[in-house]
Amino acid sequence: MPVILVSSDNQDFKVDKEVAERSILIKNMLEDVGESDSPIPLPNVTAAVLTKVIEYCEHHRNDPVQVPEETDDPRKRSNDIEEWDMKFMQVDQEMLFEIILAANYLDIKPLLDVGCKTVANIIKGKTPEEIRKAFNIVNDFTPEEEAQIKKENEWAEDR
Amino acid sequence: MTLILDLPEEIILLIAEHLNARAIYACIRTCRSFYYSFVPRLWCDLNVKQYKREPIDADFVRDKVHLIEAINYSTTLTDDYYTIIYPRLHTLRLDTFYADEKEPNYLQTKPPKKVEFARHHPTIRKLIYHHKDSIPRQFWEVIESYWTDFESLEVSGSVEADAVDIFWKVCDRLQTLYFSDLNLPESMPVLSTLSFQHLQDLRVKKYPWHRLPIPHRRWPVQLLEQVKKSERLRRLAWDVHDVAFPARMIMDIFAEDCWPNLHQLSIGDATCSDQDLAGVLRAITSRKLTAFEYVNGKFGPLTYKCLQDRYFGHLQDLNIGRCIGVTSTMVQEILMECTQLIDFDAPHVFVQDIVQAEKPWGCLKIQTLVVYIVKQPDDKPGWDGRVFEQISKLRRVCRSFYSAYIPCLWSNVCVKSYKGEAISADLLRANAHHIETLTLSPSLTPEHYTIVFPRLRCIWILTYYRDKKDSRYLQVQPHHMVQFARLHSSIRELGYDQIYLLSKGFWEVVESEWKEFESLELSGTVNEDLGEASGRCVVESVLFASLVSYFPKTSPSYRQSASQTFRD
Repeated sequence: MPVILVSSDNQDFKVDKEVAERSILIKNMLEDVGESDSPIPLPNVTAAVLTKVIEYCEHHRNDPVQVPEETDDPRKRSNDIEEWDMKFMQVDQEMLFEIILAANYLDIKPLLDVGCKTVANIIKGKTPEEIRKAFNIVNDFTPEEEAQIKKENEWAEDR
Repeated sequence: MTLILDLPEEIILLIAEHLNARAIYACIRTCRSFYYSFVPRLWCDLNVKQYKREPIDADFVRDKVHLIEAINYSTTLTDDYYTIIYPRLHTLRLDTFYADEKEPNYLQTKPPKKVEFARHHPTIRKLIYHHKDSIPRQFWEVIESYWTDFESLEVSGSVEADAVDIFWKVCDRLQTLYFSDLNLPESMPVLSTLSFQHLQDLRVKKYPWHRLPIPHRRWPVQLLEQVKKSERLRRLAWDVHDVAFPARMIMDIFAEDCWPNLHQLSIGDATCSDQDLAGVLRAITSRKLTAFEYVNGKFGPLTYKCLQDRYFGHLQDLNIGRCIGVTSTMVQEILMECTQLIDFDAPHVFVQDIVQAEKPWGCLKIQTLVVYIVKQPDDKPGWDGRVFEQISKLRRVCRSFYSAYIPCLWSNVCVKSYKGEAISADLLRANAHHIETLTLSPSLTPEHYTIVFPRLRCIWILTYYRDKKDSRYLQVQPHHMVQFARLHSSIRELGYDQIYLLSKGFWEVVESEWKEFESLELSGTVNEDLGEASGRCVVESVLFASLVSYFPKTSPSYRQSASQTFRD
């Protein structure tokens, strides 16, 4: 049975229940409401972002549901991103952050993970100045602060 | 417009999880907002002194104590570090590196300081103690009376005779016990009164290279007997080289329906018979085994049959990579039938068995796969493609060591894996013309080094600890390497962790004949007389692992190219 999702700018999206339930937020809502065909408003997600999120959920509709790990299992911690996900994440930065925020709000853990890994991959190997340039960040440190931070944390450079 | 600084702190922390210390250090220097978001991540789990590095200044550490939740103190730190108090500490690791023993300040901090330190940290939940001093009674007393949340202990070394009772008393209330090379004195007076009712994870290991005497060998068995009533026990690991795995006793324990939650079993014992091992597996109370590891033993048909009949549907971790007796047919069946597998380590599987199997692999959840896919001389053309297709269906694999298969079977070959047997020189020679990337080990025969690989682009020579125990270790001599270099002028990339094997003659060949050489990765110790020759190599990108301290002895041009890479 399809579910109707309504974006913040009032666009309707008709998606399969199985796809919508990739979002734990929506899954819980549907469980709470029971059988109902009333549309689900998502006031934090614009149509443009919701389109992307649905695209992701469609592609991953058959993935096994992630069970919460029992312990701190290092097996979860891989930095690799699947090829499809990597292509999916090739968007401008604004969209990337919007997807991350939407994944966080809608509680879609695997999408949130992929988003965070993508940002991490942008950061990796860059100098502070390059990171500022990459993300449009203004350096608001005084020279004294900069020197102090360097002194205290320099050990991290060779780890 | 949404910017990175608009992301909430919890998401920044998720991003930080994918970054190493160096990247985080870059982040905290970009702006204030990033500083406050990222700096806790840099300090929360702190290794105060890393191998071959200067320790972090004690005063800097003192300034950040409120951020630190886990620390590692190596054996060479001064008393000053033991006066620091960490209000939120939950994990304390006291580690030893081999090199520390030669330092003048090795174990300069005496046990009483450590006792004091323990007293000031009642929040500790997990202790890993690998300093090689003996732990005094007071240390255990402090834990017993102050560490109210303590739940996990990993310890090696010796327990003093007068501390045995309090030591077991501490252990009695823990969830995790990991004894590696633990040395206990003869008397164990209180053991019989303990119940270990919280115990979930018990690992007892003792390795053959452990140098301490073993005055009391029966304690691991007595401990098992005592732990019998632990209802919560989930994991049991036994790898005690000089005490046989008490299979009969374990069977009896299961026969009494003890350990109803035991799902993970790891055994390292070459003497355990197939019948006994199968008997243990058959008797498991929970009827569910999710992890099984058998190391250094003979994996027999009864054991295999029992796994197949009872546990193929449950197994998530299966490690039989260091057993003898595992056949290719078994491995293929496991890959077909064990649908829950996440981690699998096995010796080898033949291409033929994969291609001719009646159905494809069912282990679609697998993340780590360590297995040799072996091609045989009479394999049909086109089989490579079918094996590659099979592998590419395992979408979740993130670590794998079947590297012989990317992009096609023989282009990238690791001749001897960490655990596996080497590919024979004959088989390698028969396929030499396919090979572009090759990983060799120093425990291969010199014959391996006489093979000509006409398309070789990239060569890696890697040493594993186990290699050093191999009887063939370093049969390869420097002159073999010179010959090898001469035969392979097509090489562009070289990675080597045993560069003392590379003589001056080797570097001369590289310089005059390796016209396309562009990338070098080295670690290990250089013979001083080599510095000059290696310095003249035309090397565009250099990545040094442990070689840093040798720069001053090499020529200036060498240092320059190295420092360029470091800057990048």
